[in-house]
Amino acid sequence: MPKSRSRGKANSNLARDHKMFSTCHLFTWEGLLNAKDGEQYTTAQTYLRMGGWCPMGEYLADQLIKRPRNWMIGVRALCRAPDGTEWMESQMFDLPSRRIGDISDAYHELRAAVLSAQQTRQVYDLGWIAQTWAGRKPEDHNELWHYYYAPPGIIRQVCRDDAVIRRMAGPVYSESRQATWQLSNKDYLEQRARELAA
Amino acid sequence: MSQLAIPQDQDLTDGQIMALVDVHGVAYFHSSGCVVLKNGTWLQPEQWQVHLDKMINECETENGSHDY
Repeated sequence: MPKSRSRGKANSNLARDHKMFSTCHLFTWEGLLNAKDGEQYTTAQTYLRMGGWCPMGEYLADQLIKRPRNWMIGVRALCRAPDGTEWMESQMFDLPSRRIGDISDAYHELRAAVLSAQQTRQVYDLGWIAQTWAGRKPEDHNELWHYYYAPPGIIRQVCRDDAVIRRMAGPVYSESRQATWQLSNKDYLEQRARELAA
Repeated sequence: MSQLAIPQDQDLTDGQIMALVDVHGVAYFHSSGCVVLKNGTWLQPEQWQVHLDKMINECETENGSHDY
């Protein structure tokens, strides 16, 4: 009697991992603090085909950062001139097959590089964004991925699709955001100086 | 540590919360249940619940007015 073939695909942790974590992003804005506790928060999201970007719970976010993955990483500064003109200055790099937590020093270097190209008084927020990819790295000539949750006017400088801009747009400029970031930056620099002196 | 200029949103009335969401719109959701609006306001989970309750009430009111 012939052996019956097993039906369906075998369970694969790798496939499940790929499905859940192949397009995720982590991002933060230093100038947007939770009013309740005054803390900066990192937001972790995964892209679901039927639901768009959805927030990840603590367990999934932990799985996202503790395993090696392919990452695109960007540090971006939102700037505004006295005449109201806005732009984004950024630095990006690729991190293939690595744990994102292994490169915390790179953040400090990128942050300094982004700010060195700007007059600090014109910066109203700064943050990092990291996005995963699996298989072949997606083509993105304008590096649109790192404009996620930037103000719509800044995204419009590289994208003319209003639907895409609406989907990607984040919080806009405000005086309180700028004031918060300027103080946050001062704290960061003082803390960094203490760490380097130790 | 500097005193950070944090927007004080905790004492918003229900009407103010609904107006904020209507005027500015949602930028993104955080897994803590907080919601960040496009003007940078962080709504706490209980404040977002006010808006959800309003939407649910409106849906029920609209559905209730239909003749079947």
